[in-house]
Amino acid sequence: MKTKFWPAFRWQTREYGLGVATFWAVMALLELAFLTVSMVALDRGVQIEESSFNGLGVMAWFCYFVLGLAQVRADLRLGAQFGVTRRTMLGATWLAVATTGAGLALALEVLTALGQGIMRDSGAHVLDMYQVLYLQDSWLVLSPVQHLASAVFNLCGMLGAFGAGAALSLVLWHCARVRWVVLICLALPALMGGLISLGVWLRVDPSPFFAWMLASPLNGGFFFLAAGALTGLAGWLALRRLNIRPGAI
Amino acid sequence: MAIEFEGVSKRYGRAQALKEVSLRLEKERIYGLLGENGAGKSTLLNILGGRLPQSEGRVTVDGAPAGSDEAQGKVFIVGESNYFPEDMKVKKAFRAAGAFLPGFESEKAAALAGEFGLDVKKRVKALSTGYGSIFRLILGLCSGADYVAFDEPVLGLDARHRDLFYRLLMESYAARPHTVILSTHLIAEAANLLEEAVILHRGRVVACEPTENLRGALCSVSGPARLMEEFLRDKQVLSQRAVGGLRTACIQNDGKPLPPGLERSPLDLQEYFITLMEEKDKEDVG
Amino acid sequence: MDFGGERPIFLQIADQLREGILCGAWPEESQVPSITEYSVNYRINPATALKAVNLLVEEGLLYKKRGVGMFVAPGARQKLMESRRESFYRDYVEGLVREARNLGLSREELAQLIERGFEDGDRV
Repeated sequence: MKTKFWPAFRWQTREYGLGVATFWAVMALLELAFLTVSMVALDRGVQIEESSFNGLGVMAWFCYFVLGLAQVRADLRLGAQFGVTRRTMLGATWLAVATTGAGLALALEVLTALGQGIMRDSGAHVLDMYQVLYLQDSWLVLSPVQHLASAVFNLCGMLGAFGAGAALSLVLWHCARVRWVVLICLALPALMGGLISLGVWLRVDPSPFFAWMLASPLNGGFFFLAAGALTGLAGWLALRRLNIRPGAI
Repeated sequence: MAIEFEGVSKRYGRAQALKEVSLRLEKERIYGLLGENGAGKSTLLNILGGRLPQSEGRVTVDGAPAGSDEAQGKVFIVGESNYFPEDMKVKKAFRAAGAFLPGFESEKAAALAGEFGLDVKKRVKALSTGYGSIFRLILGLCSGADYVAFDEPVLGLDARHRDLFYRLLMESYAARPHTVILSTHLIAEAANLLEEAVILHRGRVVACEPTENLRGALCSVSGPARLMEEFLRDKQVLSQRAVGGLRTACIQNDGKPLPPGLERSPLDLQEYFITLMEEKDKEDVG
Repeated sequence: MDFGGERPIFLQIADQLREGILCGAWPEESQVPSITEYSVNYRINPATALKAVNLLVEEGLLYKKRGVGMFVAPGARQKLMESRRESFYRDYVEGLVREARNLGLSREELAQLIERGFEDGDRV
């Protein structure tokens, strides 16, 4: 059966790739600013105890969440115009997200490694989630293997975030009126708050779960991947009977 | 090898956009899709293009369900609605067309853009009504698809550009026989291009016939009021007009010879359409 | 060419072809415009042009050369002249007499007008 999967994948990889490259460039500039300020300060004899530039990975997770939220509809519309089925377009997009995400994760590790190399022994640190969660000692400079693990961990986070953003966008796309969207956006956090309160009242102890997450990066990564898979499925189910409406958002 | 609609209905909440539509659109023919605003033309095309799922019924393209990969590869629909991203420029849209449509004629698209005076550096969303139409009709003319649907292709176009489009359409049809579905309000202009006309009224198909048959189905008879009264006594009158002592009426054309003093002329497609719409409106009310 | 009239388009095209053959614009064995040329230049559906051409083929006025196009058949002009003569009475004379009657012209007055027509024609 002839599908347009590979043309769609190539197109999406280029589009997402360009966006993600821009994101990386901004991160690089921010880190450069941090490094410059720190080095100037050190030069002037200022003692830096504990300053850090961190969250490269988390920022990337957020970037993919926003892409899922904001870009997926535009992708499906373009696909609708040019005869790419929903299934093919969504599938190609996921693969493009995985591919560009892998590239971004590695590129961010390069930034981290450079920063750590330059600022070694100075008190100014370049950190990321992986180090904070899983490396209690020797966390200031990572080995190549640790960098790779960090990249994989970040990639899982990106996939989970993208899935969440896309699922939210696709589920909300069923809402024909603004007031339904507003209601859902109010109801979701309320529901979450309610569930948490319920948990507290029932004395549900979340610490075993967090302990499991923190026990190994494999667990943490698996959690995000599972989140990505579940939200991906939710997004697909929402997409199946959707009226793909034209428009801007 | 055709497009088939079988008992297709589409509901939005309580409103019904299409009611039990059954159609067969054959290969390599030019169809007109005619109807008033809100009759369901765009809905029909969007279901064909897999953008909307139908509420009931089946739609197939050469046997494959509409919205499937196989069907999507054969159908190309251009309509008023904008499925392009906010910031996409015409040039990039053509590039996307080349990437996604296997038969897309990129050089022809660039040449046509020049012929119409379309600035390819402009964003699609920033184009005026007329140039937006030109952009879309260029996509349709160059798509290379087996079934191409144009939804209001000449909106906002001046007479010269409209004529150019019709000419290009016939050239494209002659060079590469394919099915064309032309949905338009400008019935008089397009009538000669169509081989068959599908007429929608409030979501239902009220006619689906070769335009030759439609031309002959109804006729306009006129003559002195007195003679007309006599003549029309046993006939179903679809519409009437009186100017001074001369009366004109639209009736079914039975081909029988007229009494002396009366003149008959066939209705052209646009007159037929208007008369049919009036008749259907009356039926709905009565 | 104006398609605004009541007469079906394919008949108008057929008329035009017959006129062209009759007046010598398309001599015998010459090629007439192709279906594509008709459809593109007049903005009409090729099926309509095809219908006109097929009509003339049926009347023995045109024939098809495979892969090349439609050509005027030998003896087409002669055929047309003959059939025109046959229908001359119906096409022209009946209407002429009816109109003359409407206007109150006598047989002699009508004959004088016809005589004048020939004289004017000779002078041109």
